Amino acid sequence: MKDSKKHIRRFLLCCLFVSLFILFVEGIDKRFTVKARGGMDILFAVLWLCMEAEAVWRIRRITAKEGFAEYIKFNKGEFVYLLLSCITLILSFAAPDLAWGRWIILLKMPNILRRYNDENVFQTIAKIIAVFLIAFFIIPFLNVLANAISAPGQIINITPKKIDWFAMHYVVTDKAFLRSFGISVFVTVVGTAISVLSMAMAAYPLSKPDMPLKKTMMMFFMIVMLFSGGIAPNILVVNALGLMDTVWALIFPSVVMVYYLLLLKGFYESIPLELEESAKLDGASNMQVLFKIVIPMAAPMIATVSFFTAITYWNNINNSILYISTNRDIYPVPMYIKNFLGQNPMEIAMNNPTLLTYWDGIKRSYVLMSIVPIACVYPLIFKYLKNDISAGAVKG
Amino acid sequence: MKKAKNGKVSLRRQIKQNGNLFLFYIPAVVFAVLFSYVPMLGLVMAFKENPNLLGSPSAIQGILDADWVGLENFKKIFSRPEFLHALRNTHETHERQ
Repeated sequence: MKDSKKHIRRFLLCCLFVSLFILFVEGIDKRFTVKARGGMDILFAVLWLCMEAEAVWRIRRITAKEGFAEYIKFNKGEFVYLLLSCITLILSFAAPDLAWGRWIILLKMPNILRRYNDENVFQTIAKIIAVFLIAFFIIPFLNVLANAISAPGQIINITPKKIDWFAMHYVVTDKAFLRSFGISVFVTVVGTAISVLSMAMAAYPLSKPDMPLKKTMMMFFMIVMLFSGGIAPNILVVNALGLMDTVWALIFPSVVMVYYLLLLKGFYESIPLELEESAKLDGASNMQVLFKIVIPMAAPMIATVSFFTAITYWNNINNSILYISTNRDIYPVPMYIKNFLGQNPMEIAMNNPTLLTYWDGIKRSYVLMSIVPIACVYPLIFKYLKNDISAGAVKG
Repeated sequence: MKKAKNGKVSLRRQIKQNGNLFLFYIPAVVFAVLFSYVPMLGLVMAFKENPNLLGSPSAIQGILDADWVGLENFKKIFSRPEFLHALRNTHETHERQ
């Protein structure tokens, strides 16, 4: 008895997913031949009849046992589906324009899924969604990769054809690009160091329970997060400080990122106060308590925040657009790529015809190279990211 | 520990105990003031005429010298027909289709 029920459940689930898949495919692709469409319609009708037969059987069984009112109480969706489905099925054969009416199959869905009242179904559905999401992000990446390393003049989806390293070789030996790469690395490393250090220091007094003027300081930082002076005043200030056209203009304006400051504060609050107090009893100064005890305890959160800060610095193109006007030697990577892509292809064709042939590949190679450093750092930091991204959030 | 009348530790006592911790704010506060609060002063531009940038020694001087016009600039923005469109587009992107 139990076994047959299980088989019926599985069969129903298959019916549901296959028919949903058919609906989906028909919906997004209009180019099917009439024959294929007819075949799919018939398959759909068969699946649907199976589900209807099951629904009718359920009605009979429950009505016989507990009465019709009891059935309606819990299965309104299924009943509506049963009534409407006859009409829509006939309509979809008679008038193909009304085929969208078949989406009422969704009414049946909760009924089928509810019978799988266990973790496995949830896990399976979550995994399917995850696979779709991963594909969504990895396919464009594969396309870029394939374009970068294959010979020009072909249509390329996600697999490279006729591998040709010219574009990659050009990018790796491009001196100006390598210099901008170095600038970017410098900005990222120094900027992350300054930013994380100042944020880790500022978050410590904010996390103390009996710190005077704590609310005022919180307000001070919240205002930084919420409001800004706009583009023109920022440029004026950077200019007045004499930072225009220097590397420091890429670093200083985005040192304080209040969101990460709050993350750090939340994590500090979860560190037991007794540790600090016992260190104080042994004669440690505030500086020593912070750097010898609190920051090592908060290492996971520090690592996470550093990673995010580094990504922000690496991808930051705003600062270079606003604060670097003439000095091309200190373009960071995003700005260099933007500048390179903005060139007129005809001019390049005059100077160097081979370059124009490989134009697409070279563009993709630049993009690919700009991913490399973050991709290198990610595995190192991954073990921290896995657990502790929300660890400080509970205390808020 | 000495307590004030309302049961909390008094402010002076708190400052005495944790005063050194204010030093930790310094780097973040310096950067925040320089690159967020000082530019916010530039918002006075909203209440002034267009600065005559070419005729003044520096841009900041030009802004300071410009005449006050009150809410005139806001009036100009709000009376443009594009403003309503933009507001609506921001509110719900598919409104106009």
